[in-house]
Amino acid sequence: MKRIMEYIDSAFEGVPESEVLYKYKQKLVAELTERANELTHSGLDDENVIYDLIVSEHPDLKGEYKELLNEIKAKKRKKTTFILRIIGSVIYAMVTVLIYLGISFVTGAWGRTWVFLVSAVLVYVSYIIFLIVGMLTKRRSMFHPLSRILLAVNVNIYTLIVFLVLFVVFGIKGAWLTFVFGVLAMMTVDGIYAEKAAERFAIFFHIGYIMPAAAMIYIILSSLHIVPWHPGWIMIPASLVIIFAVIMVRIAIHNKHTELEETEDDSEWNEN
Amino acid sequence: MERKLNAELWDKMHYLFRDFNDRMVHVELEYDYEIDINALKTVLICFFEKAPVFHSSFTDNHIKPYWTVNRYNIDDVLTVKEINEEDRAKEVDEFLTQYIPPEAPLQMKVCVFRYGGKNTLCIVENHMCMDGGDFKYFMKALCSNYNGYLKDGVSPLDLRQGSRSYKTVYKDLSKTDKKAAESLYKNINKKDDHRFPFTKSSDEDKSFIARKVISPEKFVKIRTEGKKYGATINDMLMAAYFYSLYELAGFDESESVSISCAIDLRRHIKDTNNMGVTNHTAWMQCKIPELGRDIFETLQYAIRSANQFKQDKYMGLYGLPLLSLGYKIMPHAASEEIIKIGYSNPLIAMSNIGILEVDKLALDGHEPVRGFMSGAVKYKPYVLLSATSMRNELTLSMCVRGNDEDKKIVSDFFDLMEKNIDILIGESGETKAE
Repeated sequence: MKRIMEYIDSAFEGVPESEVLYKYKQKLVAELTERANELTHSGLDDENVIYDLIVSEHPDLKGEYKELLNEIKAKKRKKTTFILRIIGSVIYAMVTVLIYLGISFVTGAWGRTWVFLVSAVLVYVSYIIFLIVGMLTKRRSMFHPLSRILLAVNVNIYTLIVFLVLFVVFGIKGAWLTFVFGVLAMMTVDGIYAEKAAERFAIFFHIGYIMPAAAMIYIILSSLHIVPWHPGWIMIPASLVIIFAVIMVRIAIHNKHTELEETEDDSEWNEN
Repeated sequence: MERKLNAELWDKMHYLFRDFNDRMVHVELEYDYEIDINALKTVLICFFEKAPVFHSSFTDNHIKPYWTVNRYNIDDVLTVKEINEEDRAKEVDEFLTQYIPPEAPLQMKVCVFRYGGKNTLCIVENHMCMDGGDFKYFMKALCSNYNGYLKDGVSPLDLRQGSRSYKTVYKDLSKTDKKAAESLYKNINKKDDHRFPFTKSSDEDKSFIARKVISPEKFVKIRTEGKKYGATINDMLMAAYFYSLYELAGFDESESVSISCAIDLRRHIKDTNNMGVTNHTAWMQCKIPELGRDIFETLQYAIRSANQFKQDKYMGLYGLPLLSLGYKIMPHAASEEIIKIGYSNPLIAMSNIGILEVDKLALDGHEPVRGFMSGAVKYKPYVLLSATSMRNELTLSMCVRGNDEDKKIVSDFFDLMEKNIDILIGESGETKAE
């Protein structure tokens, strides 16, 4: 018991005294004493072994204490972030309404300024979705498909905002192309997510997306008269070349990795 | 507060094997030396503390099974029994054939039998906690820690600790290999209905361990003669096993038969230091297309079959992701039922446990004079042949739940094994057919 106290004291030598440290030390003394009793109950009567065993279970008390401090900090940070988010949301809502009213009263274009209000709400929804995606991504891979769906929703939100701005505010007739671009953006974002989150079948998504993406690019470029409709369509079958190249690169990367050294066939008997 | 441990994939799989075997792994070591019981107790307590799964009880929760760590007293683990030397075999067998239910508070039982200045150390443990590979490591660590404690007073704490997850087999693979191995959903082991010719199961069946010792002279020859044919010891034993089976069970010579051979998946792990004791075993299904004209042709078939597996860098890793997925996506009760349908437990198997190194199993400078290790007691019609060697003496063992007639069948099988080994090593006068 005395040795355990000494171990605790020596571990915290040089650490400035504080209420947290005092409480932590008290908790440690109680825990380690209980552990020693448990070992004695199991039939271990060698005090040296009991001491060594306990020390081996807590080799870095200072580190454990640091972890505790970090946990306390993290908890505080979480709480602060939560409060800041609520305050931020309220301020965001107020500022948005004020700006909307300001613009509307100044310009008198009530028929178009609502786009600002709707867009601001959509941006807020998108922010919430991003937070959820971040949370889900940190969890097990079974939650990743849900993250990907939410990301697609987010891309659509921004597509809708851009469409509203172009069509309602600026009256651009070709604004419908935004939705074609939105589909392209959705596939791109999903492909990047699959790669970054190390999704097991990411390569199949990449391959699967290339041809539809080529079709979307074809529609956008042709609609904008950047490339002619004919023979611009060649872009779609030409995307097969990219698919082929992606497959080849993936195979090359796969083959490049060194093989694992295997143990001898008869390893179980080698020393005989 | 109650402490719980995660039930790992292999814990659950071995629990599922309850219909096929009693899940006990056995070891017996005979010493011309009196073991210091207090020292042994100290080492065992430390090891139990380092690997709490040994003093945990398994809960078959329908959703997610788990281990609950229990308080214990070492006297419930270790028994010391004074016996007469002539009763040794009977007493040892009685101890080794005991069954520890997974729900029991302790998953390992140790007994020291004392007679005329000699000791036999016997240990039985639940396969759900660790396999033969780690049991061998456990025994070596037990002996070295015992020696250190007895000689220098060093606290016996040197037992590996860490993850028990099946996923550690992937940890030393390259990123691409890991990705590929984690996608090996295919189960490459096919069902084979050939059976060991046991009698029918009955309520009167009792567990027994049958052993056959092959002399050091013969064992050395198995290695040297095997080399001439490009065969490992495992291949030689496998060939003798195949040939003896055809002879004993009377399989049609043109029939293809398979024997599943246990493989240690630690071959894929370079550094085992931060791993807890656990299971890392899979099956390699060795298949021969027919008996062959003689045992030498059978040997060639066995070599060819084993080499096919050895050339595969993902040897033994097939099907693991599927099992993991099965347990992950469904509640335990449902996944067990589904896995039972898809998983075919081999009817005929072999476990090459390998050498029991006497120098590493020495207690206070006294090397064990005899010993062996064996796998679980199989329920008919399942059978597992375990092979261990000590001082170049090969021990073949079969743990079976059966009757006296089954004992006789196993004994006949061992005689056939020895006869066929003799042919393989050229001691019977039979020569290879040209």
